[in-house]
Amino acid sequence: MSRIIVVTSGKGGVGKSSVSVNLAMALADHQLKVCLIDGDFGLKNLDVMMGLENRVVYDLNDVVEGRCDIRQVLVKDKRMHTLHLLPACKSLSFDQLDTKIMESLIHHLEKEYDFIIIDSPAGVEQGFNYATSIAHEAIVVVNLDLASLRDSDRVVGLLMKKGIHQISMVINKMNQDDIESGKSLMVSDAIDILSLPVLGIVYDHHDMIEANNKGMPVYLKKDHLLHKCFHHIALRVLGHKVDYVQCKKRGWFSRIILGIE
Amino acid sequence: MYILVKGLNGRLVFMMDDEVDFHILMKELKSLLKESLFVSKDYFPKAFFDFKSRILNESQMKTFLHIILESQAVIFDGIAIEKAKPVQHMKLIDRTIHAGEIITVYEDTLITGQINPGAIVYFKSRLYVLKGIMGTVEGINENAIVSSSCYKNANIRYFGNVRQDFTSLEMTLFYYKDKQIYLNKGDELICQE
Repeated sequence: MSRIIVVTSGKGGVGKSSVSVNLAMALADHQLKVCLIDGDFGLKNLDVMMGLENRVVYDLNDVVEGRCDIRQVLVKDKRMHTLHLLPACKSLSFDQLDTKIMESLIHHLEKEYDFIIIDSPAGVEQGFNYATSIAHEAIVVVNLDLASLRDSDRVVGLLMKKGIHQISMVINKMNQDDIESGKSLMVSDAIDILSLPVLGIVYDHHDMIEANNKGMPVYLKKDHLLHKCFHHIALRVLGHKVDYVQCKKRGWFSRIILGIE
Repeated sequence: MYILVKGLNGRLVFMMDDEVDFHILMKELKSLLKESLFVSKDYFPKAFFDFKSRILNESQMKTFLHIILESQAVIFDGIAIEKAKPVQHMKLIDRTIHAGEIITVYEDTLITGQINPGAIVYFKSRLYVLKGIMGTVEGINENAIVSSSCYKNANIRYFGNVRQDFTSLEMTLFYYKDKQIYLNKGDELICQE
């Protein structure tokens, strides 16, 4: 029986897809069989972020219309051999999707994988309903701004209504300087508002954008701060107790010599 | 001696100690009723039993009556016992009420989490919120009260009356009287109670 985790947020642009991709990578790095589902049918971007865009031959629409088997849709990641992507497709809308199809799909995948990670689309509409209706657990991705937290709060209420009570949050794009200067909310504010356990903290870093653009998830950079962030998140998902990753600030000397953004 | 016997208005009043164990008390009653004072072939005094603050359950009551009947020494003339107070149940909601959630509570309720902005809680009785009220609460009964020690931009509504954008970090109780919303803060709460 696999663990089905939906990665959601409510608000768009908080980094759900980045968290989904890198978490899936981190779990696969532990030799666990992971299936990452791009839940944003009608749009698709996980294949781009993972550098698998050119390897998508069939899509979910082909499965729905019986042109191929579900196994033919899954795209294997060459860098992490136990990670597969189920890409979305632009030609398929939620209206064409039957819950029975989704259930049989998940039923099939459950036998094969240890983890199924579903990247939920933004909003709380039909896409969100589909993504959450098949999940057992949820990770709510938040930024330390009030709009993100308010939307996430709404999402938490909806998840509970759907019977998902194992919910945790990942604080994404955290900027230590903004917190210290009072521009951003603090982690404690997020905890106060959402009353959720913090699964992990991912720091704001330009390398994330570059990694997504190049199709080379940041988790693959072994010495990177963000690699460590996702590694710790994966460990916590697996039930280990680990400290939150601390972002070490550069001293004044390295700021002058190396320059800092 | 845990039982004191008094003659009062032509009957015997048995004053039963209410701190001793029930079985010890019954044992003493049993031996007391066997004493020569009570053993008579043609005279059966009326006996009233005062259990003070002791609350007897069904099985204890049966045991007690059985002893009286079995002794054949007195005429049972009544009993005084503390009435068992009805147990008041309080509903416990051990979580935060999130944005978009609308819940209605009909009995006394304790919310251990907080009511977040965008959430609405309708309450018919007493509502206590531990972590704070940031959303909206609405009384649907004239006797309904809401109490918390933390309000942040909270809205309190009663029958179309609104206390809007209320913020306080002091224990505050809201209630409805004469078609208006009233509040008591801090020590005033004691007066209200």
